[in-house]
Amino acid sequence: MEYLLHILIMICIYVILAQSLNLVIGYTGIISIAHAAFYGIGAYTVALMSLKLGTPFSLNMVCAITLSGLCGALIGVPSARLKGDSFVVITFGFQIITFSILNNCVALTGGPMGLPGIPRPDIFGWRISSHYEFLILAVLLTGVIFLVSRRITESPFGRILKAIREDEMFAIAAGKDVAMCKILVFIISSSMAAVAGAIYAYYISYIDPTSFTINESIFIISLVIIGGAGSLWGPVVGAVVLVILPELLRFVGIPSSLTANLRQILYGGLLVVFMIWRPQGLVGEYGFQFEKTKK
Amino acid sequence: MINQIIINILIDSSCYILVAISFMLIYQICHFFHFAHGIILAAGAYLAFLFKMHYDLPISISMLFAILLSALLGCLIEILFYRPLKKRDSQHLILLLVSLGIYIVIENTISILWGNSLKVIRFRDIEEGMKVFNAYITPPQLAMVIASIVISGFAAFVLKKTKIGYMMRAVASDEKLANITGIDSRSILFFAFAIGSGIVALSGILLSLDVGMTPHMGMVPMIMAIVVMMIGGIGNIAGIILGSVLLSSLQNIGAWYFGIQWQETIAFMVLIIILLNRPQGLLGSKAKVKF
Repeated sequence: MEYLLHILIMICIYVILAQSLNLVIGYTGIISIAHAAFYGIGAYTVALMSLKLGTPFSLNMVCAITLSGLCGALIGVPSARLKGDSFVVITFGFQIITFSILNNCVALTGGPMGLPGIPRPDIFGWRISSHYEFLILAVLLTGVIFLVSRRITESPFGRILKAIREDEMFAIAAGKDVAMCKILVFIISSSMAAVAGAIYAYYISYIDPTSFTINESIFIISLVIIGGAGSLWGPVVGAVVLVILPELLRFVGIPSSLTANLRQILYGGLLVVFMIWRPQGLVGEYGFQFEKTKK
Repeated sequence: MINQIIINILIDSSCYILVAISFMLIYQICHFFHFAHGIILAAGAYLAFLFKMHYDLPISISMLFAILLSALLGCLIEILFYRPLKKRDSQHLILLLVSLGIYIVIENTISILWGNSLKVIRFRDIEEGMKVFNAYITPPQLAMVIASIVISGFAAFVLKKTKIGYMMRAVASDEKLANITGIDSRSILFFAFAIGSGIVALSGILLSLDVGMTPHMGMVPMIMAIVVMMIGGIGNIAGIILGSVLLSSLQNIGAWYFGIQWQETIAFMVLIIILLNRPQGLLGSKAKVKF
């Protein structure tokens, strides 16, 4: 039963991550490989604050969201100036820099040894300690994020994002403040990723930089793509499929030393297969097919 | 002390030059970031390891086979994945994501076959590096410097003076027009992938002879090569050399004062500053700005 609860909690965390990245990739059409960095910033902020300062869950969460949002703004500003290809390199760079900082600043972040013993969250008197209670927390937060995403994507702001995705030049010509919208979407997306990081940190109660690498970023991208970019249920489908499928590998009798690698081959392979045969993913709307303004 | 920093700058920039030239050869012609390039770097190293340690071939034959097989691997990726997508006129984003997926799959295949721990190719006893001007340099590092000089000179010569270089520049500039004038852009692309993959495999082997190999070894050199290419300007070998030297100088001097962990941060700070002020790179021409 605990195993099942664990799977469900991980699905919730990845749904949040995929939803937030979906806003950037699926709705705005910008590829960002920095998402694991925002995930990590959220996790580390919450962990450091509750370990070193002993502050309550809600304050930690607010700080994680704020810090991650600021970093999202940091990424958003170059996105306004640079086109797709070179901006991807910048997001790559941010991911590498963040991992570097997490891995090397041993005094602050514990370096490769990570931060163990993160205390259980205490939300206004509700002390969360069992898997069941964590699941309730995770589902609640996932629901909030889902509703927020829906509000955003069905609003005029969401329509501007889709316009940027379809034809940016046209959106600018129509008078939309494309630069500001791009910065905003990054702030929102990174703040949501921080929520996922906070849940992860409190749930596992130990974090280290290896959970927030480039491979993790690519995994989150696969969640969005395989589930379906540009739709609200795509990230949910993607997270369910890509968390459960590798777990099934355990029951097939593959030695445990191989499962991590096979999981990565699975999502990498599915990413390639889906981009070639069904780029809009399982339930998505955006298939990356529309040619942008030809040069 | 200063001499060692200078030698280190020389070694680091040689590595960047090799990977950047190979990346640029491919990028110039296909216009999207072929992220799988990084894994061909690692594949080259691991194939050399396979031939040397498992089949006990002499080191030069192992390197040769490894380079040839890696070039083949690069071409296979192009034929199996990029070519059908390009036929459908896919957006560059799709190709980028496919190359990321390919990177993950091959990296984990290497990890399954050989494990994640650092591997070394043993072909001579461990000895002290050679002393040059009061600083140390080891034979693999020296080989990397020589290789970078030879290959950059050769690449510059081929691109400027030979017929095939001329055709490559034509396809890089405007593929459809080149096709109309009778240049087969598909074979040029194939050729670029073969040569580019071969060069990056060589740099992977040399790098592994210097510091050993891990499945993940290709990611950071590839990103640095992209940074160097964007700093120096695309299509410009001199720009790549300038960018490499500039970047490794800043990194090594920065490492001296701030510590080695800030290497990548320095690289990306430089990239952002240059991209925001001069998007065509230091030596690039304004006409080529596709950003």
